[in-house]
Formats: sequence, structure tokens, C-alpha cells
Amino acid sequence: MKIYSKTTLFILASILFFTVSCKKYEDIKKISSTSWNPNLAAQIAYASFDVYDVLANFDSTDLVVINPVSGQIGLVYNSQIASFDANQIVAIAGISHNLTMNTIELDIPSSPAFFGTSNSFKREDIALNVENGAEIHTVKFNGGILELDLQTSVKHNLNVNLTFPDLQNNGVPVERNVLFTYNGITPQTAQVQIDLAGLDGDFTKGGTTVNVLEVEVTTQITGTGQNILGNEVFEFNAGTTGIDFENVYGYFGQQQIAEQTADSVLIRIFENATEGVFELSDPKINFKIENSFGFPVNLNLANLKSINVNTGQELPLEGFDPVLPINFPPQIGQSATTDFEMNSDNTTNISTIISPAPKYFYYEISAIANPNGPTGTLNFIENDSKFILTAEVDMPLDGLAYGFKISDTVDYSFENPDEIESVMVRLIADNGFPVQVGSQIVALDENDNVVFTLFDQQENLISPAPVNANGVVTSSNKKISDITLNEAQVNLLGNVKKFILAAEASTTEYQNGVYVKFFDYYKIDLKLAVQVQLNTSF
Amino acid sequence: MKKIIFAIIALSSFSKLTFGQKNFTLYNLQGTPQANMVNPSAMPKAKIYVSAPFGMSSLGLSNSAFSFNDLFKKRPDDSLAINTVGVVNDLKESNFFSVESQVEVFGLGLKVRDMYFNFAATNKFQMNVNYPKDLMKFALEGNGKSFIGERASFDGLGVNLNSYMEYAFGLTMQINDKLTVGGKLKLLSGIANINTKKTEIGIYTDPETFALTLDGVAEINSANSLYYLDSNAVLDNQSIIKNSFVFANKGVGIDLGATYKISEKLSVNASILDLGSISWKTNVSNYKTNQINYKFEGVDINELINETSVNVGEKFQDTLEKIFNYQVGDEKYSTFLNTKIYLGANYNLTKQINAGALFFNEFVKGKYRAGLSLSANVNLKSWLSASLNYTIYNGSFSNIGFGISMRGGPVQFFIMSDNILTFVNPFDARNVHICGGMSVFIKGKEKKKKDSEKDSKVKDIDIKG
Repeated sequence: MKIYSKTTLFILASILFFTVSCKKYEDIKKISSTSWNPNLAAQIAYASFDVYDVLANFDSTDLVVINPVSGQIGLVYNSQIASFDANQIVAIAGISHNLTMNTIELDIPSSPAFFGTSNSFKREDIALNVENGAEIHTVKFNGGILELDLQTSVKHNLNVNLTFPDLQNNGVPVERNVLFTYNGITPQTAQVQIDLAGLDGDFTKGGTTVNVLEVEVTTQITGTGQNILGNEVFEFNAGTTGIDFENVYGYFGQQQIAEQTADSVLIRIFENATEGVFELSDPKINFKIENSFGFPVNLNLANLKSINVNTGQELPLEGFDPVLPINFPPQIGQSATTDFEMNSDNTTNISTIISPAPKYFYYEISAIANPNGPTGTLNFIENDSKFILTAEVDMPLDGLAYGFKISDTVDYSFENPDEIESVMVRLIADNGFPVQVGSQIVALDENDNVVFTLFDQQENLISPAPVNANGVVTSSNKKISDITLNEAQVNLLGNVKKFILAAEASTTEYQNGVYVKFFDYYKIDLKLAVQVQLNTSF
Repeated sequence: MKKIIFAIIALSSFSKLTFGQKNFTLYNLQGTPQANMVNPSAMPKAKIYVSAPFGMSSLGLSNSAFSFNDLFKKRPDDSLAINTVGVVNDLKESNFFSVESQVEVFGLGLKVRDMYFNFAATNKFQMNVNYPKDLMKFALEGNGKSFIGERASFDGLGVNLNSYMEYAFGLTMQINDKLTVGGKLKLLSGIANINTKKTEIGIYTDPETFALTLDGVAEINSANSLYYLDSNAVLDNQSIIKNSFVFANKGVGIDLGATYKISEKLSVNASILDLGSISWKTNVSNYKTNQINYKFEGVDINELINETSVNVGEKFQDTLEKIFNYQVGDEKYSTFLNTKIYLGANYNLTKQINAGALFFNEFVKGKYRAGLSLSANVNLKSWLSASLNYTIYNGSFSNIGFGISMRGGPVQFFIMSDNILTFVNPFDARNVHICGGMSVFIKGKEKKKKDSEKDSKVKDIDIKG
């Protein structure tokens, strides 16, 4: 009953309603397409960047250094040349030697039938072949084989002992015994291989010479009844293969250990810069050499210059001493460091070459060992000796800059701007850096034609933080920038395929020659918001 | 899309038709026993009456904010456009859309001397949707205009739905020649309920950064309603009908009324209806959110740079899930009935005509609503009476009510509306109301005799509205 009553009432109400509502439909027909035009606003992103984020987030080789006393920061960009090869500096070609003993040296007389026993002894110097005039005193071998090919035309049994008194294994001279047992065939032959790994070789023959290894040959001949004609010999050929050393002492000669080598330091902060002037109070170029080669080296610097690839401008560094003596370690297993700083005191134009925001600092080096000849102190070298040169461009951030322009291009695609009437992008920059940034944004079509330029003139988006008389920031500076795309620009967005984002940075009051300093506590807070005016028709 | 939008607009504008279930007309429609429903001190003329199967049924719709025509404005070319600005400007801070229906399933009245015993089984349905001005404004304007630097307040947003069976046992007693009082004890059997206990939600748009701060809390209780959306339980008609009779969700209410005749011409009357509550126990779902205070500032660029593996979308979703996390419970709860208070006065201009004034008050979820109705009430014949009224209600000043009751033999019909303009010009109406029904009378001898004396006995009719 309840449902029935409700239904009845509803039908009655509906009949009444629709009966009197006929003109409603006439009015409805008058409803033309209408629109919904909400205005939506929201913050879409935020960030807080400190000096590390701003200046050194590209590459681990970029280094922000902090003065531990003042907290002031500087930028250091570097490049590194790896170690020279120790085997190129001391190249031991090895040994190639022949030793021959005749019947006299073997102490055996001519005889139609020899049944007796005879002993002999011979000591001989074996030359160590080296390059570059090196004088080798001692070698601790890391590898290599000393090969001895022995043979004799004697038709008797022969016992040979070979001893190398200055080639020792833990202080024990290396010796080998070889027994020839005559079997009716001559020449009798044998081969001996001595593994040099771990052996210590002294090539001074008791301090009397260099590059010589002594061998002692002891023989014993036991007659077999065969004859001795008098022209029989015993001989061996000594040779080496695969010589590798752990360390070498001696004098390695006055040799050029590095040919003219070119390298450059990428100054990344200027990488995308197209223009700009920098004036730093105390820029430096540092060469740091870590050397574990045990001999004097002179480093020769040449053709130092800054290069601005955008303008092609090259500014050579002048006024410096091109020869740099490199420290070397007093003992094997140690290394020595040489620091050489080029600054405004020992160069004439170091600030100048940094001014045009160069992308590279270019330099060439070469090195010569024992530039003054023998000094009485033995050279040494290890197989893993290093000679690492690091060139650094050190820019303490204390100075001024202006017109520092960078730009980048980003691809863009926007399919349906029809329902957007206007867009306002708001950038809120609370800047604690003494730098202002102006910007311009240019929209390009697929043929790189300008569709529109966002600002009539360059817009200052980030205002510089004020500084005191010492160039230190006293407070942050907040700037709210509203970037509006009007309806015409929105309608053109569909044609835009890329944006050129250009920015120009300058330091606080650079016009007045104010030098600013950068500290590690500086930061900039950014907030990005969007306000969109929609115009949706339906 | 256009059709959908239009349908929504049309529906909402139809809702503007204020079908307020206030029954201003019924209050003064003398001669109908159903007048006792709005004033328990109203003494019907019939000795016995039975209202079945077509007892009183009424339906009311109200939209406090705007009418259909308010939604549109004419363009110079005579076409119509949506009048968003006008609609929003006309909104009050808090607005409502309500639907109320009342169906008398069975009614019985018996008059014994000066006492009138009555019983009625009535199904009542009330739905009230509160929507704050800022909600509409936010939806139409977005947050980028007037809400910049302002909190868009959605406080009070919510739905309240109440459906129950009412079994009312009433007694009206004429104390003396001047005073008649009445009361009803109502046993209630709850069918379904949605009770938005608390909604305090707002969005603040920072004027500088446009960062959005969402704040607030919401708490909703429901019985036999949201439970079915939030579980695998199946809603079936049998259980609904069962809930109507078994008092699974018990409630009690009372109605009180009094009429006092100051003089032969002037009388005053008052009634208070629906003092009571229902305790909801079956298929209860309690929803409560955390206290929200979330500021959306966009994507953290530092995080994007430093954590290449971070998924911004997933992270944002996780954040939202944490923010909007809510607890679901099943604890029983109680809701109060929407109490109404009528205060009226009538002045007999002639023997057939009296003028009435009726002041209406209602309390819905702590919100007070009021209305004022001025009426002219006519008893032309013993079988014919009518009421015409003008009512100010729900912010609307264009409500003309009319009702008429006619009796043919033992059968009485009546039909009325608190706003007949709805049917004349539905596009301008905010309130729609229609009420009608049929009763069967058995008159006593004394009354018959008085009826034979025709119009001179009209004053014996005990409805003093």
C-alpha cells in the first residue's frame, strides 16, 4: 500500500509538473553552447639549492672548496694525466751472451783413448742490455726467464755446474747442475731455464761496474775411452725473455720521460656560457704532481692558455717559469708531492685569461729525468711507480661578474591548448646568492622560426641578495615573477616545438665594481606555481 | 557532455522547487482529520474516520539556493547561458536541498465525547543535502579567483537521510470551551539512515605561492545504507520491509499541541512535533577521517634530482592515502528527529472565513529554519473547505499555497500545495509541495444534526488553525 500510494502521488506530481512545464522545453532550446571558466591555481614544485647544488652538481670532478677559516668557497676544476709507464723509463732488454770453453779451458789433453777425470773452472761477465744509457745496479725481478742452451762436442761424460753469485734467491746464489752422459752421439745438448721471479740481481759485480752479471762455470769430465781430438768445446748461450721488475736501482740517464702532452681543464661553470665577464680577485692555476719515481724530474709547461670556444678567443698565460722541478721520494715505497701554484704573483695576466668566461684552460707538458745528470744518488723505480699530474683551475668566488649568459634549448609539445585561455607561471625566488638572473624565453616552431618571445625585454627573475662592504650577503632577496601567456600566445602553443631558455647573470652591484664573496651557507629557495584560466565550452 | 551537464542542472534546479514538508496549508485546512498530524489539538468533525488505502501522502522538495531560471541569463540574441556568477552570488553561506515524503499507510480516529483517539501508521522519508556556498563557488570558479588567500569552506557539507515508520497513538481532548490540547506518542521503527555528524573541510590557497592547504575532519554514521556500498551485502526489499515493522532500530517521539480560544473571533494555537530520537543498530557503518592538515606544495625538485628512482605519482598517491585515511566502525548511534514548532493564530472574519497567521520553526541538524504563513481559510459548506496562504520560507517570497477538501457522502478527498506557483511557473520556484489523500468518515448523530443546520454550525469544527 505504501508503495502504491507513493507511486500514485509521484505520477500525480509528475503529470502536474510536466503539464505546466511545457514551456520549459522551449526555454531549454534557447540554451546555446555555454562555457565553464574556472581559474585554477596551484603550486607545482619547490626546491632549495645550496652552493653545491648550484655549482657542483654536474660531475664529481667539480669541487667546491671551503676555506676552513672563513667559510668562503671557491670552485676547482681539474684534469689529470695518469702515470708514466715505469717500463718505458727503465727498459731492460735483457741478456744475450755466448760462453765457450775449449779443451785447454776444460783441462783435457788430446788422447786416442781417455779414461781419466779432469776438472775446470771459469768465471765470466754477462752484460745486461739496457736502453737510454741506463746504469742498472740492482734489480728485484718480478718475472722473466733466464734461458741457458748448453752443448758439448766432448765424447765423454760431463758434469757442469753454473753459479750466478749475484743472482740470489733470499741471499742464496742461483746455481744449476747439468750432467751430460755420453751415448755415442755428439754434440750432447741440454737446456736450463731459471725463473727470475722473486730473484735479486746485483749487476755491479761487487760495486765495480754496472749492467754486468757474473757467472761461474765448473766442469768435471770423466773419460769414456773415446778419443780427444783437441777441438772439442763446451758452450752455452744465455738469453732472457719476459723480464719484469719489481724495482730497479741505478742511474736511468737523462731522458725525456714524457713527450709533449696536451690536456685541458673544462671549466664547467662556463660550459654553456655564451658571453660574460668575470673578474676574480685571486684566481689560481695549480699543478699538483704526485711522484713515486726515485729520480729528479723537470716538468716543462708550455702553451698555457684559456679558450673561449664560443668566441674563439684564446688568451695565453704569461710571465711564469715554464720549468717546474718535481720532488721525488728519498726511499723506495714512498712518494713525494709537488705543488705549484700559478697566481697573480708569478704570472702577469692570470685574472685576465679568466675574464671572458673561457670553457677550457689548455696546457702542454713534457718531462725530463735526471735533468742535471748523475747526482751521486741512485735512481730507483718500481713497477707501479706513479707520476700523476693534476692541473686545477682554482677560482675563489670573490669578485664580480656580469653579462654571464647561458642558454639551452628544450623540446616541447603541447597537443590541446584549446581549453586554456591563459596561463600564468609564477616563480618565487628567495635568493641568498649575490647574483641576479635575467631571463628571456623564445618559442620556436619546427623550422626554428620564432613563434613568440615571452618578454618584451629580458625579465629579471632572480634578484640579487644585498652585500655588505666585505662582499658578504646580508639578507636574502625575494622576487615574485609572474610569467603570463596571453590568449594569443596560448593559441600559438600548438605550433611551438622548442623553447630557447636564455639567462643572463650578474653579481650584486657589479656596475659599481662591488666584489662579492660566496659562502657555503648561501642558498636559494624556489617555488613554482601555475594559474590557468580554462575556457571549456560544452 | 552537454546533455549530462544540462541534466544535472535541471535536476538541481527542479530541486529548488521547495517541496518543503512543512504543510502550512494542511495546518489550516479545516475539516480534514489529517490536520491533527500537524496540530495534535486539532479536533476533527468526524466521529470515526479511517484513512486507507489512500491516506494522506505528501511530497516536498526544496532548494534553498536558486531556481531553474536563476541558473540562466539571457543573452542579447535571446539565447540562454549559465549564470554562474549570479547563482553563486545569490547563495547563502549554507544552503540545502531537501526531499521529504510522508505516506499515511493507515489511519484511524475515534471521537468519544470530548476526546478524540487516533492512530496512524506513517512512512516518513527525509533527505537533506547541505552544500555550502563555497562548494558551488569552488566548483564554478575554481580556486584561482576569489579563493586566493581565502579558505574555501566546505564546513557543513553533507547528506542526512532518515527513513522510518511511525506508529502514532494520539489523544485530543477538549478541556473546556476555550482550551483543547492534544498529544501523540510515536513509536518509531528506523529503516535507513545517513547522518553526517561532522564535516569541517576547507581548502586554503596561499596568495603568494598558490600552495593548497587542505584541512578538516569528517564523521558520518549510517545504518542500512552505506553499509551496502561498503560491503558485499546485498540489499533486498524483504529486509527493508522487515525493518519497517520489527523495530530493529527503535525510536520514540512525541507531538504536542494546544488551541486556546481567546474570544469568539480570536484563537491561538501551537504545536511541537517530532520531539524524539531513533537508535540505529542494524548494518551500521561509522566513518571517521583523521584530522587533516595537509599542505600541497608540488614536487620536491631536490628529491627528483637526487633520487632518480623515486616515482612521484606513487609517492603522491601514498601521501594522499595517508591523509585521507579513515576508520570504519559499526557502533550504534542515535539521531534526533527534526523537531518542528508551529505557532498560529486565527481570527474569524465571518462565520465562514477566518484569517490565520502561522509561524513555523524547524531544527535540522542544529540548523534553524523558519517560515511565516498568512492564510485565509474558508468553510463554505460542511463538505467543502479551502485554505489560501502566502508563505515566506526558505528565502523564497513567492509561495502561494492552496488546499481544498471535499466530502461526498462518507468519503473525503483533499489536495493541497504550499506553493501552487510551482505548477504555474515551475522555473521560478524554489519550493514544491503537494499533498493529498482520502478518508472515510462516519459521523455521529449530533454532528449530523448540526450539519443539517448548515452554515451556522461551521464554528463547531474543531480545527482552529
